[in-house]
Amino acid sequence: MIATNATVFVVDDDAAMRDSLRDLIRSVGLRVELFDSAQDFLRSERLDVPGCLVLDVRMPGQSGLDLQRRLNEAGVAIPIIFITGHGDVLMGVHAMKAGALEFLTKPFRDQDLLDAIQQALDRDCAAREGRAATEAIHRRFASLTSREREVMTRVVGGLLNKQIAAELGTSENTVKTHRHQVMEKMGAKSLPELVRMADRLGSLITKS
Amino acid sequence: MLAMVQESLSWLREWAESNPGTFLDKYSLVMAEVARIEGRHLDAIHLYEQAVRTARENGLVQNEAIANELAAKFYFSLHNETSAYAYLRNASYCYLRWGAIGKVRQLERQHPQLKEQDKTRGPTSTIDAAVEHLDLGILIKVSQAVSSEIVLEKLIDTLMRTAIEHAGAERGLLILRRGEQQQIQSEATTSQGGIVVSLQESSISEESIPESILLYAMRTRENVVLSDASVQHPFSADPYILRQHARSVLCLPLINQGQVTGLLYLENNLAPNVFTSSRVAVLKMLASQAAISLENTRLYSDLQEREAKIRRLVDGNIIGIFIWNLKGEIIEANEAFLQIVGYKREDFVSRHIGWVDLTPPELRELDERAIAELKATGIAQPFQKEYFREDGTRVPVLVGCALFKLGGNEGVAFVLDLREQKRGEEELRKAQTELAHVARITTLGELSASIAHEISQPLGAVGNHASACLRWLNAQNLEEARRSATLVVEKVHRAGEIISRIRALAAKTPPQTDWLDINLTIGEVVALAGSELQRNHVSLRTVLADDLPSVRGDRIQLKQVLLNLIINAVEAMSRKTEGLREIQVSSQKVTEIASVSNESALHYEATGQVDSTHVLIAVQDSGPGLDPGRVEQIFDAFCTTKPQGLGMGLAISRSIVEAHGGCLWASNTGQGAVFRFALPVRDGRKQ
Repeated sequence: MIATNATVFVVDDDAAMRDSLRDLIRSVGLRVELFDSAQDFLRSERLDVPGCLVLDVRMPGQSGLDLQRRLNEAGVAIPIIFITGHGDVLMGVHAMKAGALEFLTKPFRDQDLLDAIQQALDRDCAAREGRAATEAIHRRFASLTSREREVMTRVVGGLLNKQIAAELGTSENTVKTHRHQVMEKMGAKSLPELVRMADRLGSLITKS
Repeated sequence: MLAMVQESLSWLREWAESNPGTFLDKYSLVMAEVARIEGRHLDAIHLYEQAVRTARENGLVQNEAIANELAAKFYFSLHNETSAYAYLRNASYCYLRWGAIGKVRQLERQHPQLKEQDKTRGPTSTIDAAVEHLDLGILIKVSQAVSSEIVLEKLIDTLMRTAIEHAGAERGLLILRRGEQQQIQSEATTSQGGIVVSLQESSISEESIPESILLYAMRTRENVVLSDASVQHPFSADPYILRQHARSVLCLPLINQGQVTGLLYLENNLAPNVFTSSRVAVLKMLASQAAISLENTRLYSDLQEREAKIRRLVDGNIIGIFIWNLKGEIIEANEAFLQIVGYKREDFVSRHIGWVDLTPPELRELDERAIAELKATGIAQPFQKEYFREDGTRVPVLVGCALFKLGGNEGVAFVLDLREQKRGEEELRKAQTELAHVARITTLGELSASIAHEISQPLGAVGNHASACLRWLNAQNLEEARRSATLVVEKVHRAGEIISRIRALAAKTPPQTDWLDINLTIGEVVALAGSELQRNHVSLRTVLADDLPSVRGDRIQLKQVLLNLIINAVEAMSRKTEGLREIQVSSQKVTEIASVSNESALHYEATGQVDSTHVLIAVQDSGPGLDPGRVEQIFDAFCTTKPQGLGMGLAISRSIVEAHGGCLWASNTGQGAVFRFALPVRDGRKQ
């Protein structure tokens, strides 16, 4: 389900095309923001809302492909739909390899574009949700004491309490207490859930 | 009387005392005669002998002869015939040397014994031979020996041997002219083992020959005979004579057709008076015979040299050469020619393959033209043709011919293989064609891409607004729907504007109209398509009416239409493997008998009258013809039956013809397709 505040960003140098795209996208109830060049888009202050980018490949100044590369470099993860007046296969391949979601050749059918936009927004929402969840886990992990992190690392590594106690040079009971604290603070209801959280923390956990 | 003699004698004695070389012999002879008259026989015997000796010593052969003759008379008067005949023989010999042949004959008539005595001495020596003897025996032998030799080396050898042998020379030189220079060609010397002839060529030097004598003989063309070079004579100062103490010297110029072709030089350093007049006579004959023979042998060796050069030319195998006759036979051919045509030499003999068989039938005309040229001028300028090879393939060649003699029926042909060159040309042409094609496609491609872009932008926008409009309507949002519909209208207008702008752009280059003779234009286009026709083995025939009125039109555009139709015809037949590949381009006057709206041949009829309305041009091929269901479609843009075609040619051609107020249509003839277009005679340009 698309969030109501989802926005489609259109970058095209042709005013007529730009306006008609706004008309079309608005007609399916989405918000649209228009930009007449890649630079214009990069300079803009955008709300951090779910969205996608409809990008003309050939433009004076920076091309659509240039913009895609700069966004990738800046770590901005926004799904891109390319539209082009020139059915250039090679360009399409480049764009898709660099992570574009769709490559449409003008004249395209309106439904193809709308479907692509729908798909892009879905993907962006999912990505945003994923990113939000990971950030929560990171926050919780940050709230653990160093002893609790040591215990958590070993618990998700599959060690028994007895083995952990021996490794950390403490009693089995103390380990049990720490383990309880960890489950509590991380909000994990079961050991498998804790393991999945550890996965999303990635390298962060192994360092501790 | 004796007293008068005595007085003269006293003068003579004075002269003989002061200059014995010239006068002692004469004084002695007169004294001998005085002694004979006075009956002092012993004194006479002594004085006659002295006269003979001093005359001989001083080379005064005539005095020696007279002294001998008078001595002989004196002995006859004493009836001492032995001595008398001895003196008579000497007298005869001296007269012979002197050249007084009449005197010799007289003596022989008076004393027949003299002659008989000579005969018994045998033919080996010429010294005492009678004049009649010399004339025939030796001359025949010599001239036979010399004239039977045709090889230069052998001739010189024979000549030198004969000369040395018959003249009694010690050393002999043969000097021949080589261009402007005289050169010693051969040297012969006598030695113990006989005569040695060496054939070394060397230049003339004062070491080897008395140059002054040589130059004198050459200049005057006279024989120089020195009977004793050791005594005073005009050439005494010559360094060679001084050094070699030459005694008998003979130098004979060899004269052929008035030209000094060389010299025969003989010498004998041991004895004087060797080269007597009889010997000189023989040698003169020998020399003139030799001059002719030498000239002949020189010609012969020149011929051999030239023959060798020609052989080299033929066997060098740089170009193909063959010898032929007008009957069509190949008499001889070199390796290079055999390689070009792939035949063996014996094929021309055993299989009777002639040059006629090597020529493809349609090129016989070229041969006939060359033969006409040969008969007229003796040579045929090089021309391009093709030969059939043994394996049935064809080879392009350049052929030039020459008759051996004008009016003859044999000649030589030079053949250059053009395969490499043709391949190069073919590749070049292919590359050019490809380039032209690519350029055309690129230009057209770019043009259409930019038109497509210009149109597709507003068109895309229209699509988007229209879709949005539908969606607003579905959502009952009439306000937005109206706005979208307004935008659709606006954008459609914009697209229309772009199209009219492009049209305006195209209209900027109006056709350049001119009155033109369509037959001339056809000729130019046929020439232009020549290489393409040849490459595809297509023959083109024109059937042009010669009384066509001029039409008004753009020469370049009409050429483009004609070229397009011809190239299409060529391409239509390019996949045809059997039968003729033929194109016929025709022109005629016609009259329009109905409206041209339904473009069809039926609306024109041929006319010979002045009031013809159109000129009709037809391009007809012998290809597979048109798909009956698609005859009209082929004029649509982007409709093509060719793998590489753009489908623009006929569309453009039709629009050009229509811009000229004419029409272009196609139909099948049964043997192929025909494209016709009619152009109005009067300015029918649509305004």
